[in-house]
Amino acid sequence: MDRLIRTFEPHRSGVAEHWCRSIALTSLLCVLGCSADSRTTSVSPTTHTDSSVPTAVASGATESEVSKPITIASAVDPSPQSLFDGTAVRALAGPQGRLVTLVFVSTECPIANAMLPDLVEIAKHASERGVAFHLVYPSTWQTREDLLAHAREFGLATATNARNMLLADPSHTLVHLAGVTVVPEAAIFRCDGRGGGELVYRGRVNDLYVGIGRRRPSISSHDLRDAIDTCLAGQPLAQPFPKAVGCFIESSR
Amino acid sequence: MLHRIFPLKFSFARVSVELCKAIRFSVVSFSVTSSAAPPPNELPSPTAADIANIADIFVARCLSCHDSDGPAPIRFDNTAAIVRHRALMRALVDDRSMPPASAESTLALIDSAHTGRGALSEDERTALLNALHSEASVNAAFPEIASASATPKVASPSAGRVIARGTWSVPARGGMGIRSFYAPLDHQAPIRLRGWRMIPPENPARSPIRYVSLAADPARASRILDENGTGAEAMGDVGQVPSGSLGALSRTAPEFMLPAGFAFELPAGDLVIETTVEPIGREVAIQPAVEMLTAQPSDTRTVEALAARVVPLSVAAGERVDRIVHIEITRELDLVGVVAKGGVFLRGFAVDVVAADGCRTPIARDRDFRMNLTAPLVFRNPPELSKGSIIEVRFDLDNTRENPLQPFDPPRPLAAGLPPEGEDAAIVLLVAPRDTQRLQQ
Repeated sequence: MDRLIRTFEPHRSGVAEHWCRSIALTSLLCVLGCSADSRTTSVSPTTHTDSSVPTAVASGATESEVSKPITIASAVDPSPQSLFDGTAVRALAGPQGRLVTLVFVSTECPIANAMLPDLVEIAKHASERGVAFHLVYPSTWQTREDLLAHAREFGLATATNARNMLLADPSHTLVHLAGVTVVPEAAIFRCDGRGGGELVYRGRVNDLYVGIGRRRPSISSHDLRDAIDTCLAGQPLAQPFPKAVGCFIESSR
Repeated sequence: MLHRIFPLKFSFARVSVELCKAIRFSVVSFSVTSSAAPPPNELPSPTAADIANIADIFVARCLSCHDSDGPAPIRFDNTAAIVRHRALMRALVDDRSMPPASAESTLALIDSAHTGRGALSEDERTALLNALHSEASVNAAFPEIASASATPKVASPSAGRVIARGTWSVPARGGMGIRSFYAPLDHQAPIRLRGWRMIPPENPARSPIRYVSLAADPARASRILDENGTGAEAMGDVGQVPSGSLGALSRTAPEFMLPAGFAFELPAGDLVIETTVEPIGREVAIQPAVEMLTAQPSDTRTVEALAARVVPLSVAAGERVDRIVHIEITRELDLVGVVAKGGVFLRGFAVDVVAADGCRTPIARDRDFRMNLTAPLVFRNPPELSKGSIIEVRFDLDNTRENPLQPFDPPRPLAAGLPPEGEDAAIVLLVAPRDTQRLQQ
């Protein structure tokens, strides 16, 4: 399958919807092959590091970027995948207009761990309103069993809809898609019905941490939950989005 | 205001001087530098000297906590792990969040050598940033990292373990919490201790314990507060004896050692263990436990405590104020250490000594106090405090909206009490009389 996955640069304008990055998902992520959104970027022909592994770069990429293409997971190595059974998951495969929330977490980051009880509540809040919710482990070096052990330790494995909620993203397909850089960091997409979607929020989960080692006594701003509710109400989100505080996601590139 | 008085960046130059008549010590002088650290892409390549030195710096200042069995939640005890966490490490070293030594002193600290604490020199910081600059530089600087835990950090023999009575189930979420435990001491006669070591739980990286301050309770008065045997939900002060009078341990400094020649005298009775915790995302039961480190026969000077508190503590909603507490020195003393405690409203503190002739000498300060990362200061060469001098302790209390950890919107009037509603800021000064008479404070 010669499908494309692209890297994106943030496309910002004064209007919330225009800021959103349009997504064209490719083969292994959604197997649907989504069309590009001409507002944001155009797709250049791919360079291949392997005949069976198609890659692509964003238009205007420098030579050095071209020389380091994103590796697309193959059918043998699907990405992202369910933490429970390893099957490929089409994160944005919902009907047009459906909201999908991704929150990136890790086993080590104390800030991400501290927010897990709140994230389970947000997951319940979201699912009750028809919003898909996934906790995504972007670890490139841990096994699925390592991640599952962490999920069990923190009670995620028994959380509502856990089987569909927990994803592994070892190839950073979703990391690049959402443009996140730290854990915990949240992204909300609005599905386009073709396996892709618009990124409508990317930022912090809440203000429990205002900096490394700076933990508030309690949460005063429930940014992700409020963003979900605002999107469901069809209202534009206030910008700039609150910046996530946490541990850097190690680069896969 | 402290944040105006204290410069943001320091360079350190060790000199031996005599300052004022009140205080003599080996001082690390501060000089202000206005230049910011160069951005990452302008850093020079690590030199051969950097690389030769960097592994030692890394083991002493980083790996002592971030080892596989260390207390830090993120571990990088091998080269691959350093590569993975390189960006985070660079950011935190660059903005001086790590090593977590926000409390600084004009004096050389005894604990910097074996706990990883103590501010990095500018050269050390630059060398570390250079080594973390790229994957290649990491591989060059840290080809093989020797485990810091392979070498005992303190050679003092153990005088036994003290385990708190009862456990506390720390909830999965919430803010910082404080609870005092007591632990019975079996010995009949007072014993002399040089320090303490925190006994780590099975998985120290998942421990919610951030800070432990210790006080003696020979009358076992704390048990009155502990009718249910679950650990008293109260401060660790015992009567007029302040919590921390026997020193303190923290996640970032799990060992506490007095300088050579000094010792605590621990009476029979109970040990009160005031424990500060931070929820980690899942419920965890804790039972604090510490190991006593035996004093040597040559450790003859007995250390006692003076406490500085704001009494009454009252800060109006929306105010940020300096509250100053003076302690008059009525006898000849040596100042051995400083133990700081406080909640989210304590933004910083400063300890100065003002001689009888008015000469002021800065001793310690913290312009970015964080209880979850703080650690006590113990001076390698305790300065002398002359009779007639004044110890001035300045508390920077912030009850404004601008306080990033302000729990209330709008702010409420602040009084002494448990977090998050109250503030229990205290500075405990560990001192040793220079004669055999008891300190009359």
